[in-house]
Formats: sequence, C-alpha cells, structure tokens
Amino acid sequence: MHRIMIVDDEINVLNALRRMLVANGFEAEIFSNPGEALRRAQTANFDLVISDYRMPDMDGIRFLKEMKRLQPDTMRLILSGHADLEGLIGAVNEAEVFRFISKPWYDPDFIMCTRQALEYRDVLIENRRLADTVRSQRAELDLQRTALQKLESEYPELIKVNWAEDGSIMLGEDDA
Amino acid sequence: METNALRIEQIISAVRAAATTGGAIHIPEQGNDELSELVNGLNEWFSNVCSRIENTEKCMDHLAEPNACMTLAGTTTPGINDNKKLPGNCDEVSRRFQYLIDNTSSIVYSSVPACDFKITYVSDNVTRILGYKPHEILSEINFWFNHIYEDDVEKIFSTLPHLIFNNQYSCQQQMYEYRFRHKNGSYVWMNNTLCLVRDSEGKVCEIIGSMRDITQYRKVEQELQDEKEHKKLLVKKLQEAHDQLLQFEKMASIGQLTAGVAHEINNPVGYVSSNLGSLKKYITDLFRVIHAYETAEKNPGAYNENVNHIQSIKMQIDVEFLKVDIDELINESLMGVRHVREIIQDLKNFSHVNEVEWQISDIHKGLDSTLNIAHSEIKYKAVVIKEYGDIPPVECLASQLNQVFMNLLINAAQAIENRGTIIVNTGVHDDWVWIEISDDGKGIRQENLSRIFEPFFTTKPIGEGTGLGLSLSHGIIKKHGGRCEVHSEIGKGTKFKIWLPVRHNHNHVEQCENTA
Ligand SMILES: Nc1ncnc2c1ncn2[C@@H]1O[C@H](COP(=O)(O)OP(=O)(O)OP(=O)(O)O)[C@@H](O)[C@H]1O
Ligand SMILES: [Mg+2]
Repeated sequence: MHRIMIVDDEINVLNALRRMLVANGFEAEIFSNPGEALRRAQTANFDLVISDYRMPDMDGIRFLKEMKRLQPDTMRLILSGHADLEGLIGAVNEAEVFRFISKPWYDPDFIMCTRQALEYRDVLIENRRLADTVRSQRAELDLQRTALQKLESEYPELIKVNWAEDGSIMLGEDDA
Repeated sequence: METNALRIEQIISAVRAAATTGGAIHIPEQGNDELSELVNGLNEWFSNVCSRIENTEKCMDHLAEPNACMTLAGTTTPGINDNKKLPGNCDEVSRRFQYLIDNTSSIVYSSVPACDFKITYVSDNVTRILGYKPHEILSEINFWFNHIYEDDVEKIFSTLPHLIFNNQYSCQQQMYEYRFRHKNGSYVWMNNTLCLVRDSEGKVCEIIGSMRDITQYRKVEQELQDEKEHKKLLVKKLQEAHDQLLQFEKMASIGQLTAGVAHEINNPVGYVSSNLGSLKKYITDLFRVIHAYETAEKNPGAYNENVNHIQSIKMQIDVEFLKVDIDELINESLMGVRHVREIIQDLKNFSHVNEVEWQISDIHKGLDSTLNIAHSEIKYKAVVIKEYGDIPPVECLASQLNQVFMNLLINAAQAIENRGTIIVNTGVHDDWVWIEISDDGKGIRQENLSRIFEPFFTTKPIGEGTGLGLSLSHGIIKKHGGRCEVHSEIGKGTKFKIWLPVRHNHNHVEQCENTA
C-alpha cells in the first residue's frame, strides 16, 4: 500500500483529504505544521507528499525542497488556491513538483493525480531497478570478455580454431 | 457811525424782505461810499438771479407741455438744430441739451404705447450706433418691433404689455437686453432702460428711455460665462477623477485581497465538497447494511445465516468508524459553510455596498471586519493584537474609514519582512476618538516621512504598490475633520494614529470641499 503525507494549515482540509484517500485505498498521514512533517520524514518513508502552498511558518515550496533533500524518491504535489506565476516557477524549478492541484479541488481529479504520481514513481523505481540489473549484467559480461582476451593473448592457439572444409576442426596443423 | 449802523440795518431788512417774498430788492442809494457800492452790487446780483430763474422756468414750462417731445422730435426732421421754435432764452440751454444727447453713448428715445411702440423721438447718435437716420426710424410705424432679433422678441413682449396696460403696476422702470438689427444687417446687443410716463389716471401715455450698445460687454460676459462653464467642467472632471481614484483604490485594495480571500474561501469549498463525496460513499456502504437487514426481515427463519451476513458486511465497511467519522464529517462541513458565510458578511461590511451616507457607527465593528478580510493577507506575516478601548460610536463614512484601516493594516504587514506583530489600539480623549495601528516592521526613512501622503509615492516594486493608499486615506480622514499622526523608527517599526471627532461638523466639510 502507498503511503501519502499531506500538509496543510487547515485541519478540516486535512481531514477531508484523508477521508477521500483512505476511501480510495491509500494510507494517509496528515500534518498541519510543515516542521512536524519534516521531523516525521526523518524516520518514515513516504511515496507521495502533498503540500499546501501558503502556510504561515514555511511556504509549500521551501517545505517540498526540504522534503526532496530528505527523500529524493518521494513524489511531490502542490495544492493551492492561489497560483501566482512566481509560485509556479518556484514549484517547478526548485521543488520539482509533479503536479499543481488548485483549490478547491475536484475529488476524481485529485485521485487521478495521486494515482498518476504514484504510478510515475513506480515506473521510475522499476526503471531504476531494471537499469541496475542491466548495469550489473553488463559488468559481468565485461568481466568474462577480459578473461577471454587474457586467455587468448596467453594461449592464442587455444581459442583460434581451424575449421576443415567439411566443418570439422583441424588440430595441430597450423601452417597447412 | 450812527448813520452807518442805521443804513446797515436798512440793507439787512431789505434783503430779508426779498428773501421771503422772492421778489427783487431795492435799496435806496445813499451816498458814494463802500456801503453804497455794496448796495449797488447786491441790486445787480439780485436782478441777475431773477432773470435766470425766469429763463429756467420758461424752459421747464416748455418741456412740461404734452407735445414738447413731439416738438423736439419734429424739429429733428427738417433741420436738426432749428431751435427757433424754442423761446429765445432757451436757445443756448437747448443747444447744449441737444449736444449732450447726441454725444452720449446712449440713444435717447421716446415712444407711445400704441401702434407697436412707434418711435416718436430718437437722438441723432442712433446713426452712429445703429446706422439708421432718425427719420428712417420715425417714419416706420413698427420700426422698433421689426428690428428686434426674433428669439429675443418673446422675453420683451411677455412682460412689457402687462406693465403698460395693467394700471396696478407701480413699476415705472424696466430694463431689457436684446439683439437689434444694425443697418448693415448685423445684430447689436442693446441694453434698453425704459421709463413709463403715466397720466393722472395712471395710464401710460409715453415711454421714454435710453438704449446702449452692450455688444462688447456681452461678449466679455459670454467669455467669462464660457470660462466659468469650462472651469465647472474641469472641477467636475477632477471630482470624477478623484472619485474614480477612490473607487480604483478600493478595487485595488479589494483586488489585492481577493487572492487571500479566495484562498480563504477555496479551503472550505474544497473540503465541504470533498466531504460530501465521502459521505456519499459512506451512505452507499450504510445502505448495504440496511439492505442486509431488509433481506433478514424477509427471511426470519434463517436467523444465524442472516446475522452472519450482516456482521460480515458491517466488518467490511467498518461501521464503528463510519459512526464516528460521519458525525465529524458533518460538523466540519457545517463549519466550512459557516466560514464562507462569515467571509461574505465581512466583505459586505467592509464595502458597505448599500451605505454611502454619514452614519453613527461602531469603529470596532469596522476594524474587525477589515481585520477579518485582511486576515488571509496578514496571517502569513504577523500576529494581530487588538487592544480596544471603550469608545463611543462615531459619526462617519464607515466604508471609507474601513478603507483607511485596510490600507494601514496592509502597509503594516508589508513593512514586516519576516514575522512580526501588528497592534491595533483604540481610545477616546474629550470629543475625539483615536485609532492607532503599529507594526514592528522596517520603518520609514526620515527623508520619506514627509512624502508618504503624496499620491503615487511608493517605495514598493511596480505591481505591488501604487502609492495611492496613504494619500487617499489622508483625504478620507480630512473629510471627517480628523487628523493623522505618524511616528516611525528605522528597524523598529511604525505607528499611525488617526484622530476622529465623535460628532461630525458638516459645515466644516463643505468648507474643505469648497477650498479644495
Ligand atoms: N507601516 C509602514 N511601514 C513602513 N513604511 C510604510 C508604512 N506605511 C507606509 N509606508 C511607506 O509609505 C509609502 C506609501 O504608502 P502608500 O500606502 O501610500 O502606498 P503603497 O503602500 O506603496 O501602495 P498602495 O497602498 O497603493 O498599494 C510606502 O511605499 C512605504 O514606503
Ligand atoms: Mg499601501
């Protein structure tokens, strides 16, 4: 099950979002204070973090930047009723958020966005896993090839094969 | 000496007698000395005076004759200065009289009330002023009437006949201004002062008067009038511009706030609608339980089976959780709706959409509404501490005052760089109420302190401040007959204190508006 963190300074928003996410099969933890959320992130991993943009002590972008440092693989969403250009640019460039959800949100869109973010993350992680496998396999292959080359240089005749016309191997008849 | 005294007495009594009877004096000659000379001189002087009086009387008699003016007019026709008909003694007086009339700037005329005011006499200077020869005027019965500018006829004839034919009118003098056609076809503005001469029965027998060319005067007057109109227009435009500015600032300050207010409304709308979505799902679940009970009712025999079914559904949907959460969900949603309602009420209070008049209102209510609206803007910057005193209601333009508060609060929040405190104090002193808004922001530089009330003075980046806030606030405070004090210290903070009279002096405002 995916774990989601939600941060907003309005408790009723948090409750409503948690209700909706839980009903859709997610596990959600809510925080009305960004500092508290960061402390929690030091001990628990989350797949997705959704943060309000305007909060009294720390704005959403600063919070998500901090979150990115703590858990780089966690997907980030911004939730805001107030989408000024400056905020948008900051969100995209600094906090590298996946999506910008505007308030008041529409439940089906919100859920879709959440799903997409999590799928994206799953694909990313899967990709990374695959890439790791490829990389480790290639390393193994490289190892084998070096060994082969070494063998070849030491015993050239060992690997060099003289094929007869009929497809049989001829031994000891190098100069023939 | 004895005889001299006697003679002087005789002279005195003779002079006295002459003075009382009005007749000539005659003092017998008594010698050849200074006294005799005095007597001679007196005699000569008396006879001189007598003949002058006689002459004047004759002239007066002549003028008083009913046909005297006709005669005067008549004399102008054949030979202008033919004064032979006047008594010889009047010759010089008459010539002098003629000379004066002909050379003043007023045309002197006489006319009769009958026959459309036929002109019976007109002075020679008419030729100089209007181009016509006197005989041209005298020979045409309707001359006067026919030469008045069409549009001006009415204003004369709506009153003149009344004056003439109604004997009850005691009015003898009347003044008209109208355009009169010059011989060259152009129109000349005339000022016509006429005098009604009534006979013993009170009937008007003659109209005499003078007409003056006032074209130049009218032109200047018209120019002045135009200029006045122009000025009026300018003042109106200025007033409009000012009103617009006020409106604009109001819109701007509201616009500045909409982001915050929208944020404030977005939240409840977001969670209330989301909660309704969740509630819908919860209820679908609960209906499943009800449905299971209904099935059980229809099949009471299979008791254990039914109970198991119901219990398994209850487990699936977690009924215990639903019981608690539905209650919370509904309470939270009601809270959200109430919050939206409050925001809208505050917006209404702030703008006082329907109130533009002077009213006695509670300053604290205005401050609270304004604070609520500005709350979303301020809360990220500052904590607001309210220290309200016990103040009486104030006669004011509440919505405009709210605008002042809004400006000061937003300015205070904007002056705070990270986080700070804004304190709102109120109090009363004699007949004055004061409101103080202080912040612990960056303060105002000494050289800017004298300029902050100037329109368009701002230290804020383009897009953030228009620099109108304080200038308009100042205008509003002045309109209330109040005043505004500022104290600021760099790095420490700023304090704005507004003083308002509890009762408004309406005359004072008019004075301000007139001198403005
Ligand atoms: N509380 C304050 N602390 C520091 N500076 C202030 C304060 N209030 C006003 N000022 C200074 O006075 C200037 C003029 O204020 P004013 O309210 O007239 O315009 P503005 O705030 O710049 O723009 P606007 O109100 O139109 O958005 C401001 O730019 C700021 O420099
Ligand atoms: Mg301002």
